[in-house]
This record gives sequence, structure tokens and C-alpha cells, in this order.
Amino acid sequence: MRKLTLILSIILFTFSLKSQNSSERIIAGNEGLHIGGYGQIDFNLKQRDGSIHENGKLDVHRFVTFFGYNFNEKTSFVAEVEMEHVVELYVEQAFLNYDLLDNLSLNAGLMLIPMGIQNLYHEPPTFNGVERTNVDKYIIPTTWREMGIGLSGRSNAYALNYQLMAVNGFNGYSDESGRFSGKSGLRGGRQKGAESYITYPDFSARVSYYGIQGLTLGGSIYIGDSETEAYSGLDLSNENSVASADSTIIGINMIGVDARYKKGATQIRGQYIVATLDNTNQYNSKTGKDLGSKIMGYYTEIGYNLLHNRDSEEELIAFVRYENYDTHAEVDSEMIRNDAYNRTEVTFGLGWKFAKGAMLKADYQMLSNESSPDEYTGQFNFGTAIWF
Amino acid sequence: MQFRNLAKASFFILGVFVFYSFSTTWHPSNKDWKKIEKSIGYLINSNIFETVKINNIEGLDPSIQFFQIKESKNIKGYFAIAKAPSKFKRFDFVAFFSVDGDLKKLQILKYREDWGYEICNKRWLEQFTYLNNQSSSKVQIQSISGATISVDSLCAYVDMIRKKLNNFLTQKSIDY
Repeated sequence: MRKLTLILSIILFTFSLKSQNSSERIIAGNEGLHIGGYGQIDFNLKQRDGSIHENGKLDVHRFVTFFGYNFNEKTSFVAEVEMEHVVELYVEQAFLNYDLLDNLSLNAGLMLIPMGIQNLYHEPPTFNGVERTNVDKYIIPTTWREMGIGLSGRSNAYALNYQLMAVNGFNGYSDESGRFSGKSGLRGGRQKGAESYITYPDFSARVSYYGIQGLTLGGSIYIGDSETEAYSGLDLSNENSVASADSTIIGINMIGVDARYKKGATQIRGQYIVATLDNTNQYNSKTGKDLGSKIMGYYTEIGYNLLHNRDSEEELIAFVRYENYDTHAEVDSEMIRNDAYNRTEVTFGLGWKFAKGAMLKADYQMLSNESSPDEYTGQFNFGTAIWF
Repeated sequence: MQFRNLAKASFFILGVFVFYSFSTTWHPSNKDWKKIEKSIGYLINSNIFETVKINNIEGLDPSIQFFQIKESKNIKGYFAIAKAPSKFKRFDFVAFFSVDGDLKKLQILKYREDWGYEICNKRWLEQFTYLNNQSSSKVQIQSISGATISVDSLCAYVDMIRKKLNNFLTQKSIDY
């Protein structure tokens, strides 16, 4: 009987949701609890290299459920729980938000570092192409989230939105080995809120300007040092030990600018990110790594909605993107640049958004690097993208 | 047994939230009310007017409230204040209408989060004053990358407000 009551309750609740159209669901909203999600399921097929065969890869790349709870009008909690490749479980965001003023909020917890476009806006239907851009993956590196405290604010009069935060830095050295690398830059050092540690806080800020219709301009900065386990239990009076521990720390100064523009059927976006890394000579000597002293990347993309003039919410977006990123843009004097880390990608494809938050994507990528600039590897990608 | 208890508790908590969200109305702050009055003065070209809440619009969500703008007992227009959902929170906005029910101005009073704030752009909001009634706002409005939820929400609310006001004006069943 109890089971029957429970099943009936679930059916009634489900029916009550389904009986609303999308507008009614928005109007109804829910003051307290918000539940949603996004995900992407991908198929990647690399082109054969001569007679060398490559298998295709099918992957539930990521599925994220997000929860927001408003305790009252001023206080809320936001969390995103992510499953990657079916078996990896992460918390992508988990922070408390308190509105100090109508246009100023205090945030504390695991937060996205406000750098570039896709680290903040990475729901798959919001970007073109099956996969995220590799500038965001290898230079920023998305999804970059760390523990900290910050302020976010808005000024409607000046059409500005801004964020400031103090967070823990990358884990640059643990288990007596370096976490950074020449190929992947800083990516291996993300702590992701999993028993993170900190010596001194790093600082990050972003300003967005939205005063021109259709255009959003962003500027981001990140300043700080990487963290090192070599400092745990370190005797600060022992100069040799301190010098040895210091050689496992990287100074990081990253800046980024980005723009998104949409008018009629046309959409354009671009991004440039550069980071100078200090102390790489000592770091590489200590860890045997080949980390560059400067990493940079940029992309520019144009898209066109082929269904723009139809009286429909459907979109069919054709796009092309040019992307270059180099994790050895500069190296210290005792190293030689690895041209294979200077990578260029041309991506073109289609995205069919046939329902709000549901999209099919297909694209072809031409992947090359400066070690053999006249050659490229082709890759076909197909994927589903959802957001609800 | 534990699952059943958990499920029951979840439905009870959900029920409380749903009841709470449908049973409360809201009021703009004094500061926001002054913004509304300033916009009315500009739209009707007069600073001498009164606002009267319209209580007899049927089926209206408590997050939306309608008012009449009167000047010396003459109706000069209408406006609606609403609290619409963005990604996690709600934003407050006001929609001003002529005496014939044409949308004259849309104004965001408060936006409370870091996603979707681009909808506060005044020029982007101006698009709503050129909408036709043939299709939904969502189809006619320029979408904004990174602000999908807030754009959809505002469009749904504007469509709902226009529909309710037009029904009200057609029926002429005003009861103050």
C-alpha cells in the first residue's frame, strides 16, 4: 500500500511537471530549490595516418547535475556534481552566496576561476563544436575551480559585472614530483577542492562590460604562486631546505581578454590568454619537467544561424574556428622550445539546436603543430549536448 | 523503509516550497519604486499621477502584479512588476504599457547573480517594444550567449504579462 502511494505520488508529481509547457515552468519557477543539469555524449574518430588505423571513441564525456538552494532572498547555495567518462566523480562548484547589497555578493567555497569564456560558461549548448576549445583546456585550464572567498558585483549604470576572489593556488609539487608539464602546462596542478592545501592565497579578478547591444567584453587576471607539499613541515630557519622547497614553486601571472558578439544570424567570439611563469628553470631542474616560462593561446570563431529568418526557435549553426595555443611560447634559457607544443586547429561544423537545451553537433578538426607545419591530422566529432 | 521515509520527507519539503512560492506576493523597495515613478513621469510626460493596483486579473501568478497609471482620474497606462527566475535567483523587472496595452518600456530593477546579467542592457531591452503579437517573444528577440536562462525567463514573463493585460483590456472587467 505504502509502495503504491509512493509510486502514485511520483507519477502525479511527474505528470504535474509534464503538463506545463516551458513558459509555464519558467513562470512557476521554484523559490527555494533549483535542480538542473547539462551533459555531452561524444563520438571522436581520428583520421587514419597512412595505414595506421585508429579506433573511434564513444564517451559519455560529462554529465553534471546542479543544485541551487535559496535559503532566503539574500542567501543561497550553489553546487554542481559532475560525472566524467562515467566513472569519475567530481564536485565542480559548491559555494555559499550572500548578498551584502543589492548589487554586491559575498561567495565562499569551491568556485570557478573567472578566466576566459568557457571556464564560466561551459554548458555544451552554449558553445559551438563537440569539444571545448583546447585554448581553454590547456592554457586556462578549464574547468578550473578552487577553494576560496570572493566578491561579485554588478553596476547596471556602467553595464559592468565584476568578480574578485582569493583562492588556493595550483598544486605544483606533491608526492615528490612536479605536477606541471611542458605539454599540458598548468592543467595537472588543479586541486579541484579535493583536500586542497594552501601556503599563501592567489588572487583572481574579472570584469565584463555589456553596454553595447549584442556585445560582451571580458578581461580576466590571475596572480599568485603554485602550492607545494615541500613546504609542509618545512623548517623555515634552514636556508637550504627553504631554497629546495622554493624551487618547486612557480609564480603565475595570467591575463585574458575575450569577446562575444551576436547580431541577427551572425555570432562571433574570440579569446586571448597568456600566462608568464616564473622560476621555471629551478622547477624543471628539481622535477625533471619541461615546463615553459610562457604559455599562450587564442581563438577566433564565427558562426551563422541558417534558420534565422524562420519563425522558429530552432537553430542550425554553421561555424568555423581558428585556434592556436603554445605551452612553450617561451622557455627558460637552458631549454629548447618544443615546436610540437605550438598547436594550431581549424574546426568547422554544424550545430542543430532543435529544442531549448538540446542539440546535435558535428564537426571536423584539422590538428597540426609547428614540428611538422605542412601536415595535419583530421578528426571527425559527433555529439549530443543537453542543458536543462 | 529508509528510502520510503526519505521519499516522503522529500515530497513534504518540496510541497512546502511549492506552497510558499505560490502563496507570497512581493513589493519593490522604496528605491525601486522611485525608479518606477521616474519612468512613469517620463513616459506620460507628467509628474502628477497616481498608481492603483489591479486586483481582479484571474489566474495571475503572485510573482506578477499589475497597476494602473491615472492622472486626474484619466487612465494614462498600465505597468506590471514581476520577479522572474534567472539561473539560481530571481530578478525584478517592470513592464510599462500604453492605455491600449502596447509595451512602451521594459526596465530591470534588480539583477542578483553573475550569470545572465547581459539582459540588463537597455538597448537590448528596447527590442521588446517592437514585438508583434504573431509569435512568442523568444522567436523575435536576439538571444544572448551565456544568458539563455534569463533571456528565456524574461521572454516567458513578458508574453504572460502581455496576454494577461490584453485579456483584461478586452474584457473591460475592471473592478477597483
